[in-house]
Amino acid sequence: MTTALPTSIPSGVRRRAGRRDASLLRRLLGQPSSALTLAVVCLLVVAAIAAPLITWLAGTSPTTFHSDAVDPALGGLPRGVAGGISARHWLGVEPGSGRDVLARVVYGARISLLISVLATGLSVVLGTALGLAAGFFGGWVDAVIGRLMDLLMSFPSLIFMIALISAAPGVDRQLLLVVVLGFFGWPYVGRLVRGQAMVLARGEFVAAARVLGASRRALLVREVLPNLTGPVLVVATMSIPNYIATEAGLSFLGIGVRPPTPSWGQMIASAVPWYAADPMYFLIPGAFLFVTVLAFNVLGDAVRDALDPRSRR
Amino acid sequence: MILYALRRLAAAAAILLVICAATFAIFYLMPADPAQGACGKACSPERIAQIRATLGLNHSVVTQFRDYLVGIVAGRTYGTGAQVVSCPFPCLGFSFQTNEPVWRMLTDRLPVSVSIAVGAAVLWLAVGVTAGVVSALCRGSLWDRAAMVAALGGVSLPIYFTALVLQYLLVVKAGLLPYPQAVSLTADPVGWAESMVMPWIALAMLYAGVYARITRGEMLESLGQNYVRTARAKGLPEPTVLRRHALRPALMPIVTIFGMDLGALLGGALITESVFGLPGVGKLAADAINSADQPVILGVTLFAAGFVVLANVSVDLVYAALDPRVRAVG
Repeated sequence: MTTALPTSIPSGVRRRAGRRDASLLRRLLGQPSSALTLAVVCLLVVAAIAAPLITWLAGTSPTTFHSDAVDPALGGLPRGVAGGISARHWLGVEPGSGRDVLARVVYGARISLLISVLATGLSVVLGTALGLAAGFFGGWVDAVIGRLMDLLMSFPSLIFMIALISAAPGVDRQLLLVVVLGFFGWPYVGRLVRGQAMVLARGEFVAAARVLGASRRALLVREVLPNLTGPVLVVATMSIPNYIATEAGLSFLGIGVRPPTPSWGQMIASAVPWYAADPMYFLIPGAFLFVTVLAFNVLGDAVRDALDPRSRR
Repeated sequence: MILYALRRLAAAAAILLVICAATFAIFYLMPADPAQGACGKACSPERIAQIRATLGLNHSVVTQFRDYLVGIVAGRTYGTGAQVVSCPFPCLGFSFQTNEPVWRMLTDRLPVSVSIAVGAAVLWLAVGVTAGVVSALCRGSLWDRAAMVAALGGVSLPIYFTALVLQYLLVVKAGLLPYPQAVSLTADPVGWAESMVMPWIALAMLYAGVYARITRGEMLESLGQNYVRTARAKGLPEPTVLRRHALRPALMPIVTIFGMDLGALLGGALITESVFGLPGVGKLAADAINSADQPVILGVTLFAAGFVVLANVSVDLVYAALDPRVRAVG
């Protein structure tokens, strides 16, 4: 019962997985549409990371009030055209307070991406671990985890998330959003992983490793898990836009991140009273949200097509 | 079949019970004080103490939960003596902010939510499934590419953004439609349709994209199957092959997600109703969240969960009726 014997099989699997990653990137860059979306996603990530640098270059901050940029005679509408777009405020200012829209948008991107990526990470870790256990061990483990997934997926999750968040007034909202989104998201990863793990567990290479004396842990970690990277990568890429949209939706309803921390959903919500007089103020964060979600959706499709030749139609 | 239906209903009841317990636990074990929530943000300490007594918050959580369950099946009263508040069957709680039983608040607002959900569902099914079928048949054509780009765009549009753009263009700029209001279908059918058309379009843009993508994928899958080749080989006319042999199996997954989507929407289109200011169940939830009216939030959660679970059961039963194999396994 030593684990030293079956070294050749896992290393082969690892080599295969490594080659696949390199070819995935090559395939994505080879297609003009997915290369473009990859560029958009990279740009967004860089903008989010470099938010302090961008606002420093533009000479603004997301929380500074610019009372000179709005016109009190018009009820606080931005001075100038198109929502106050000027050399000083590149994307205009917020009506009423005069806060810089560009600064709020790039800081909002940070929140959006941070929360969605962390929530994806949480749901992938939970979903992979529990789905793997359910699919590999079967029996009562599968029954318990399977029921739990069914239950969570039949929850009206949006309303339940709202109930949960609104009942926890003192808790850090960003952390709570990550936990809640990840908690309601993991069954979708888990269901997929469970199905794949059930097939893989019956595979010949697993039987071979078992005969060679590999422990159950080694079978799970070195035989089955590496073969799950593809499907998990696809479902992770596809869940990021969902989490971005859900976070923005919750912020829109006033239960996302707390002001003054900016978020796109919250910006659109605060634009509602102004939308007729200052349409730019909801069009700009709305357009950023739309482009981000669209880019991640296209990327998700492209990753799936690149990894699963059957789906390329 | 009857046995299968009973088993599914029992499972659904169990799920609802768990959801009920989980929601209840959230409100009664979390730091937020239900009495404070029941009374609103400005409330005197005496009134809070009075509400605590009326709501039975001094009892243990288990007792409170048992009382809540009994209230759902048999109705209940809150408080004692002169300040008794009755909450008839099915009692989903009592809102002390509005002085109304939650159930009545929900049923008052249900027609608006049903109007929105059903109208939007008809629109997105028609557009989404048609676009998906045509795309699959003309795979790779300009139409296919355009439709799939549009579908992806529709899926990615946040609903509140679509709603605001629609309202800005159609109401503010073009003046084609009035601002949406709660108009009864029977009293004023034209006004009803005028108020509902923007929510329908906004929701349909989101869902039609999803349905078009799924229909296209499923159609392509079934068109590649052997039984379609057999049907063609035995000389069936092409429309019959497409309708009876390719489209039918392709629609099975559509039935599943349609049931779940419709169920979720019937329990309140939270964001859509909030943006358009339509007083449906979703708007009720949004308002209750803003005023921290916990009995209402709890009630809406259960009500919406009821629709989702009911939709799941209906889908399963439709499936079992269509496919005997499901009955045997499930």
